[in-house]
Amino acid sequence: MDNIDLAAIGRRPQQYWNADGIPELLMGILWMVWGAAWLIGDRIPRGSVYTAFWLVTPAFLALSGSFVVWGTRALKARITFPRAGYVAWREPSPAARFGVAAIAIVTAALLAAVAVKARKSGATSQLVTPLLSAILSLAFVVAAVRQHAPHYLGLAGVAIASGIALGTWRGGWESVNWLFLLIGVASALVGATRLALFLRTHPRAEAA
Amino acid sequence: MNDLDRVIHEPARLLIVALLAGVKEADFLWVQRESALTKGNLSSHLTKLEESGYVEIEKTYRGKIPLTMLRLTRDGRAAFDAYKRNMNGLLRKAAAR
Repeated sequence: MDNIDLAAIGRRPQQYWNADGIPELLMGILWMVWGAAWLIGDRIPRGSVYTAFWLVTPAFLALSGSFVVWGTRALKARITFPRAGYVAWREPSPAARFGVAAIAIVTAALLAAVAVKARKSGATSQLVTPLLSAILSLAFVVAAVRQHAPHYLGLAGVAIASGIALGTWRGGWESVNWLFLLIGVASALVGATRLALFLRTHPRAEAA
Repeated sequence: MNDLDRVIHEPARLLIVALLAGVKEADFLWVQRESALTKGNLSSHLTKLEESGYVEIEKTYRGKIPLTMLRLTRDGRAAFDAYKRNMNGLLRKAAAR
């Protein structure tokens, strides 16, 4: 108690969000669903089933992001809060919001520039997977640093390794679906492992 | 040394204030787990912080479960920032000697 590291204490609310593995688990399931949906859709023979699948699936996939947000909150309320307590983060400052928006715009512009350049040389479909994996890998590294969650570095490694492997395979646009599936499996496994550890180390507490 | 806020300078209360400074609000259970204080000890320190106007305590319910929400007040945040400034100043002076 006598040696209080204020910087380390300041990091605890961020670490709290990732303590239970729920975000990684649901994010992994979301990516697996996305990858699998497109892979299955591409393999259905043209006909009524194919038409029905592509009528329903895009709407389902569009809603799946909201489902993950809702599911994460619901699971945290049921599993995490009774065991580790409840924390509401502080709202980010306008400068922080502007910074995130600026990074997103620059990334999107770079992606668009590379896509346009690659289309001229006819290499878009072969470049898209390694490029996407590099962006996802970078996002995992940023999350690892900002949220002080080193396990995200492992997911960054999986993303970049999968991107390189799938780029070598030269599967075109289909390899994007495999990339989502592989990262989804890795993320879900990490999340499930962390959730199991969390449940073991955090017994349900009495209400305060 | 006289510039240091005695309410915050006490190690357990400094820990509580530092934890609450990083969040918008948190419940009693989270602060108790993170501080490793007993319920009674944490309650008494929170009372002292509430009396000083540094912490706001709200007793509420989530469903049928009682919930104690804690948040740092504006004065509490200002006092914590001032404490860090003063402490850093003292440490710099000590290092310069």
